[in-house]
Amino acid sequence: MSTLDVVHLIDKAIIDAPLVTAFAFVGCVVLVSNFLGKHLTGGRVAGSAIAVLAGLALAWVGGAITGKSKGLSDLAEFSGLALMGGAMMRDFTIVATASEVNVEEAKKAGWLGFIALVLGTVLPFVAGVSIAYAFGVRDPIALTTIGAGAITYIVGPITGAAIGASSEIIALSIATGVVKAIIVMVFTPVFARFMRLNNPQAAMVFGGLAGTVSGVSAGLAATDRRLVPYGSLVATFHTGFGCLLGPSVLYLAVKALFS
Amino acid sequence: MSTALRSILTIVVPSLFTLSGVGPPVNADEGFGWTREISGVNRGVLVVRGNARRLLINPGQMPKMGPDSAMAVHTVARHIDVRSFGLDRPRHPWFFRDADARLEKKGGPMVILGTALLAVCYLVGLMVGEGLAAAIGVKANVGGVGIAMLLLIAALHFLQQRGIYAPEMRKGVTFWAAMYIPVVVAVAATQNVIIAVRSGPIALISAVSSVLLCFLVIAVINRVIENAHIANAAFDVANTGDEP
Repeated sequence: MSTLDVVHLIDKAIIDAPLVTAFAFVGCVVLVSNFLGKHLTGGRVAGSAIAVLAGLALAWVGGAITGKSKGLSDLAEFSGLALMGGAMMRDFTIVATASEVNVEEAKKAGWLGFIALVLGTVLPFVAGVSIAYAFGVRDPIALTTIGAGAITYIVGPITGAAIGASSEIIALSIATGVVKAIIVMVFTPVFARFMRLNNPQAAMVFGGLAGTVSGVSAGLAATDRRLVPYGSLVATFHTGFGCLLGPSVLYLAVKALFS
Repeated sequence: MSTALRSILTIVVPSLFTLSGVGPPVNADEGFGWTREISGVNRGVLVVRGNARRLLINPGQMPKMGPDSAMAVHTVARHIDVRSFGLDRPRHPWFFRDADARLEKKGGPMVILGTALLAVCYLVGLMVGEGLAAAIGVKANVGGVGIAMLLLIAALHFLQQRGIYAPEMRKGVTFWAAMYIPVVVAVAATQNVIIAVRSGPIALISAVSSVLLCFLVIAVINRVIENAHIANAAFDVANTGDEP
């Protein structure tokens, strides 16, 4: 058997079992990240934070190679990552973390979560609209769409489509949301101490205000695994709430202000 | 619009508030009542294990629940003639029959029951989320995952109260909870980082400023709730939960 045959054999096995390959691959990434976290940073940076960063770096590599939109999973060998990191598995495992929720803790912060949810929808929107305005955007539809993108990358396109924004503006609002999700993923552990992010109630406030489920859940996972269910519980209402307010109240407010 | 707002106020908000109406079990750490007859008292409800039924007891008969509530349970037990309530006869749905035997059995197909429960909660939650979205005219799932989480919390609480949350079944749920971080790594690896990097100053600056603004407000709120003692004591910092 020649070397080429062996390579072909490995390639075939990997491509035939995408999800299993993804499990093995992510396992390797986590292993290396834990090792780096322990020995390179002396345990100061959690292994999971490094793993998320490594994931983003790999997504950049994948996107640079293929020029497509789904990071590393656009390479045939890693297509299983799309399934493993897709909305289905993400939400399924988030629901599973609810088994670790302490009911009494969560009940205590229900109203706080709601206030955080409202603020977390309005504040990013205002920030997004102001920045777009500062860059010379005057069209209320474009302003609203970019502002909605600053809520989450799902609220942006849905709001844009509902009020009839152009595709460039919608792409811009998706980009805003994706950048936000990535910033939240990366900087949550960095600012965790500053935000007093060390108890369930604080995690619920964080979940409501920081929005974007992937950002919140990954950021909390990198900070302290036990906070994940509390933050996600509130954050999952974020997208729906944003989609409700975006094309209605927020659009009307922008229209009244800028036209 | 007003109907939409009303739905939000009447459906979403209460679900955030009322996660579960039942108080903590008496000896939660030990899997809730391994004694054969009486397993706990919750707000005047005496939970009798073995035939998976609840029994309301007279408040006058119930001793004050203190730190030694396990003792109190036995005191109550001594004052009640279990037979007079018909509790010695098993009279419950097929699923709860032989729950004791199943709890002690190792291996077998119990793991899938946990995963299936999780899956059912997920599906029902998403359906409710979609229904809610359709009802208020929104093109996205409204809190489906959050509702699924609430359902799972309620279901596990129900099973725990009846003492039929078998360790094997627990594995079927906790495995997926533990798979959470690896899945997040996969989520990160499938992000469109290129578009995020290339999208120019508007996207970057508005994203950064909205995150900074939110982080600032989070810091303020969390300091306030810390000082007002709404928040609980901080988790132990030395153990970040990465290695259980």
